[in-house]
Amino acid sequence: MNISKIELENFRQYRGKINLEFDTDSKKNIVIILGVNGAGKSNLYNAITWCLYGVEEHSKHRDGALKRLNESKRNDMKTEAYANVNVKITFSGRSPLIVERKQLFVKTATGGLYEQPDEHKVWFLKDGNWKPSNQPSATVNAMLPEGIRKFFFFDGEQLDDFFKPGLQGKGKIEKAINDVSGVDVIDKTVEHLEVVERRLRRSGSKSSPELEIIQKKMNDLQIDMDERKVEITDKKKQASFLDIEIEKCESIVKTFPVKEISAYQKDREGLDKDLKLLNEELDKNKLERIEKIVDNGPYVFARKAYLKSKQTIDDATDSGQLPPQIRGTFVKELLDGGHCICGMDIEHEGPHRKKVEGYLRDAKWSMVDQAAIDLKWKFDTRIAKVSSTSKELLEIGRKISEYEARLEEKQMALKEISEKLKNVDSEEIVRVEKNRNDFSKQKSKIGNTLAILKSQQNEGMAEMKDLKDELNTEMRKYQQLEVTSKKMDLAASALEVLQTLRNEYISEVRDSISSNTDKYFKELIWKKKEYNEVVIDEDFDLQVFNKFNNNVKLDLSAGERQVLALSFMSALKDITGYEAPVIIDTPMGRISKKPKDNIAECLPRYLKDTQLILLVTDSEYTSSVKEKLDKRTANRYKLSFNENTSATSVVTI
Amino acid sequence: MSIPRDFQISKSKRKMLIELVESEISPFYKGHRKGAANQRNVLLHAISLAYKAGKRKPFKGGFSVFQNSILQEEEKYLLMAIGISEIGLDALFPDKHNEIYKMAEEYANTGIDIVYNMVFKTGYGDPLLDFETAISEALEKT
Repeated sequence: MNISKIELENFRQYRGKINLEFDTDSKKNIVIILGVNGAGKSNLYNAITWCLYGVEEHSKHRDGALKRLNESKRNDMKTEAYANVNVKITFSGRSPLIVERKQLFVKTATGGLYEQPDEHKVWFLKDGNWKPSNQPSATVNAMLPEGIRKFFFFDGEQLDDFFKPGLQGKGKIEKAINDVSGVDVIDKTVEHLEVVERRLRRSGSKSSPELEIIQKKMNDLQIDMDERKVEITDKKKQASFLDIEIEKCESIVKTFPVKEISAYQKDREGLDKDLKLLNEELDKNKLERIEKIVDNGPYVFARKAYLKSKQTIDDATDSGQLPPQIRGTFVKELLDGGHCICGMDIEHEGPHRKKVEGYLRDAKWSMVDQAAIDLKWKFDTRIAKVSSTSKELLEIGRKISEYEARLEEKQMALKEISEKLKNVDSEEIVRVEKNRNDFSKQKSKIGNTLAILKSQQNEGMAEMKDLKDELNTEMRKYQQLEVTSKKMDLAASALEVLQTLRNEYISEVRDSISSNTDKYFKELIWKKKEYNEVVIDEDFDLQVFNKFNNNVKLDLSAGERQVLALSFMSALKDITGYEAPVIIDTPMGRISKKPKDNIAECLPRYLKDTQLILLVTDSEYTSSVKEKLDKRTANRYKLSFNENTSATSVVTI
Repeated sequence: MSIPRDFQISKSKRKMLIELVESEISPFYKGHRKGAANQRNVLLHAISLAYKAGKRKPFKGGFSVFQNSILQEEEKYLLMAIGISEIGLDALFPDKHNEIYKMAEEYANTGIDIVYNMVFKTGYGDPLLDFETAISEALEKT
């Protein structure tokens, strides 16, 4: 879906009717809209979001709708006259659409200005004719939902927010991933189910004093858990603040103009990275150890049973009890017929019949002889497997000890670096390192408190589960509550399934965005050999590893950060599955000349199958940038603001 | 094979069973691996450890932990091995299967105390070490 035309009338600084037409295609997908600060780029952006969604979010205007009508038009209006503000956007592509939003302004006899509610209209193409949509907002949202438009229309200067240190950056990344994943549908369902469950519980608990007691316990526990939740959030915020402070300290050491000192910080970063990898390996092995124990324990502890049972089967085989020599069915036929194979009469009681009956008792084993043979084989296999368990556990244990020793070694090396920094010939560094240590200690304390709080929260959840079960059991005693109890069971099971589903789903989306960000970054970045991998980890922390596998996110230049941000936005956009144009306001706003050229070099490759509308300033759109973008540029417009007329004019360039 | 529909243990042991799968320090913690096999794993350990200790006790007022139909082949053979070792080859006859499962429940019922103690009553040490040691000992002794 591409924008093929934007028509403006009296919108903010655009006086009268102004049209911008775009002829982008797969070969030329870029539109340049050039203008100095204040020329009207942001208001063009606002016109688009107002027309589609009725909001002017990307705006400094907090001055109400009246100023939406062009100022000079407002002044020229005679009393009792009307004027329209109108924005109309035509989309071409697989499902062409025209979206229009207009608003009528009236000047009263006394000179006051009033606005009417705006009017939103949408037309879609059906059988060659434009048909009005009965639900304009829904039609626009079907093209591009408002909740995710920020991944298509965005301000280049704000992209840096994703990489702010600590919780702030991680929070933004997590929110963006949650937004594009559509997981809010599951969250809303979970919230609703929790309300339903609580309501059912309350309604049922009024039936008896016992139920009321359990309900009260649950309410008290819920209050405790809610309070603890707030405390956990606070502690996390404190930890995040300390993270930022620690990073600031480390940054001072790293950029300190004495090579020996800055090298310490680089070593520290390398050690941190090693520690992270070692911890991951350690966790992996610990989990393997748990699995090995849980999977094999029962068979090892019952090994005696296998050995004894196998011996029993062997003994029965040796003694001829298994397999039986005479088939039971054959003996039974002889007894029923009354004649033995030797011709003796066995119809009547007597020693001969008794002997044949004895054969029948032995022959009962024919029913199970095959089962015994199968089991003997199974027992043999299990005994053999069990014997190797100890060796395997020993090997895992050896690896765990090795990783633990290496971890200790790295931690010692970190301590040594800190000691050295505390004794360097710079008061500033000594002070900074001391602060860093203080912050680290505080963070460690908070980490311990958080672990306790989380454990208490888990215990609370387990207790709540028990109380819910207790309530359910109690409720089952009352026939009239049978249905309520069943409903509660269903709500509880549904909640559990939904929570698991949510976590698995978000994890998949995050992995996909992580690998796509990595892919785009490697495509776009000019220093291709410098970077190894971009990863978004389970904490939603975006990390950039260089060729030495060090996380260098904080060392990226402004230009590289912008490329990383554009890659991330592109990965987010991909996951939504929507095919809408991408509009970027000031894509290279804060970037100096050299990286600007580098970005311009990569922009034609960026989203090459998507219409890309760039709102750029003169300082961004330099002659070298223009030259690099020219091949992919379909249209160029220049916006000029005339102070005398207080209006922006648009010219093709 | 005529086996009871559900595997049960005494209601009084339910809390211990839940704690063993809900606590993060337990090797049977539900977060360690996906799926809902954890309670079954606890009980299989309980059966084997109680068998090893020669302790089983009948109980009244049980609650269902899982349906026996979900037991894997290897797990059914484990119960069979215990059955044959206790009552001999008669355990192979289908009319004895019910008795073998009841026997397993009785072992599980006493064994859960052993598992619980190994996980939670080992002071501040790593509960897994107790399991590892027990595994090594079991292999050495048999």
